[in-house]
Amino acid sequence: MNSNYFSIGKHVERLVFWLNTNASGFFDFISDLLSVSVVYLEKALNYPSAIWIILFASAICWRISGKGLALFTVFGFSFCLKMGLWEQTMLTTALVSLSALLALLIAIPLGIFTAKNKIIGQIIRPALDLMQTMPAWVYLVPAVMLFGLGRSPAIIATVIFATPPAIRLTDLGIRQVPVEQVEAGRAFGASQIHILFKIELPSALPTIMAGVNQCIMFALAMVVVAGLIGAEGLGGEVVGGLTRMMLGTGIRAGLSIVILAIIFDRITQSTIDLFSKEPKDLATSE
Amino acid sequence: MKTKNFDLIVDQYLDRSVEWVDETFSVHLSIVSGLVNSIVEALNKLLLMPPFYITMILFGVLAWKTSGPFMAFFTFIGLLFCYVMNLWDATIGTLSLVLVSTSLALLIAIPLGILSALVDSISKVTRPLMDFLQTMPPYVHLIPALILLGYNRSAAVFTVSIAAFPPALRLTDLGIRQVPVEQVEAGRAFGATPGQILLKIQLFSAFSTIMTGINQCLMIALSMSVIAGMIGGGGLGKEVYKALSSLQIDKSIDTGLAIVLLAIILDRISQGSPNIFKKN
Repeated sequence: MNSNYFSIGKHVERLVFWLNTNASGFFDFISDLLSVSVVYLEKALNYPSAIWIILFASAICWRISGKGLALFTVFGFSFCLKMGLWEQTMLTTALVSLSALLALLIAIPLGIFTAKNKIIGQIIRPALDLMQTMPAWVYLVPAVMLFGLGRSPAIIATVIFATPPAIRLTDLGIRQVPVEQVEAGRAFGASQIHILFKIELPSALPTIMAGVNQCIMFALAMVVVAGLIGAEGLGGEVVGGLTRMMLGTGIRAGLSIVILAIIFDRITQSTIDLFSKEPKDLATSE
Repeated sequence: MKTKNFDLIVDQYLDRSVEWVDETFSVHLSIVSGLVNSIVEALNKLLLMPPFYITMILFGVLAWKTSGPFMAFFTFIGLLFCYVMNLWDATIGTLSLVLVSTSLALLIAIPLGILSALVDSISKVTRPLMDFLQTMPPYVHLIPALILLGYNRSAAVFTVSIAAFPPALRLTDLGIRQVPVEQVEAGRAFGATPGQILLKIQLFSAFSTIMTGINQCLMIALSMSVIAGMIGGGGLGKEVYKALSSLQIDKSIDTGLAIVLLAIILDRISQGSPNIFKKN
């Protein structure tokens, strides 16, 4: 029945089934590791009462961005709390931060690597294009097969989706470092590692932070997708609202996601500004 | 306990206001949704009417005109691939959804972009609005669309257009602002009316930036059209969603590949489309 049309997916399916039978121990291990870390992160975020978290978050916003965002954080988080979505908001925060962290751990070294090595860059770039153009639902299916339902396949799919922009921007940032700076370092006898850590990375920091921002925003875009495969949190509420036609729930959860996205976006954007100002401040103070 | 009560009350009010909107505007909304639905359906039928190879050849010719023989070959092979994977109807469904919603988005975005470039007080309103719309995670758009228009194609067109119009608006605005002041002043010195300055100088000079905006609009529309499969958008999005809910790896990967191919084809054709105008 399946043989009357051509299909690449069939072969990928066979590969996934093979992996599922032969390497299930490995995937179970990763799955457990991820879900346990999310559970602990979630517990840590839910341990203090909500008011402390709100105050703490708005203090961070004040420090990094300013009064406006701090006020917005207070109102936004109070909205989530009053809407009875506090636990879901914290779970989503935990999911997003864990997956963004994992994505960055993969993306930044890889971005440095592709910037240094042209051949690897040429191999990786089309792969990144493919990863970004492919709709996230597509790799959700193998992820569910291999990692089971729940939070870990959601994290895996989010990491796959959020890694490309961070790789791209790290790569871009390092290649934009002026050649003169690197040559000056070399002239002073700096080793490769010195050049990387003391010259290239600091100079590329604003662009890398833009990558971090993109990474977090892409991770947030996956929140609802994660809800589709039983990761709960705000995404789960939105999916529930959409599929059970409980529109009130959907609207409340949707608004909370938007609030979370605005807070994350503005915080990371303000850090970009902080980092791009820093060299100038140093130059004037010395 | 108190918070529980509070959110239930909010839910009640939201449900009631949704009902109110439904009852009061149902006639208007059903007219709009019927109109949009029939436009998408008509385009879909039009594209499916000729046998598949004729449509492929037509797209191949379009790709040849815009970006050369290699792209024409790629377009033909790519579309053939979609056909061979038994996804031809779905591909055309997505294509017509994307085309209708992109045109709708551009109908809003380009005039509004021109206005916000020319009138500062309008740009003060549009800029934060665009920021808000672009920060919004993509799935959130689905909720109001579902409320207002129900589970059908017009809701999908609505969501896709909402997601796709901000970049086009931004880039139109940017393109017109980047027109050198000297050019505009030269036009004014020769006694051109504001309309002439806009059409013959500003839009002409901003053309390539606006085309980038259209390209961005199209790309976002394609990625949103997949998501809109969840609320009745049909096409490839529906196929992926079906594959996801029944855990069919092969189907989902095939559909994903078809979407990637369609994205590459649409991207290159829209990037190369200024070439057609240049030759004339």
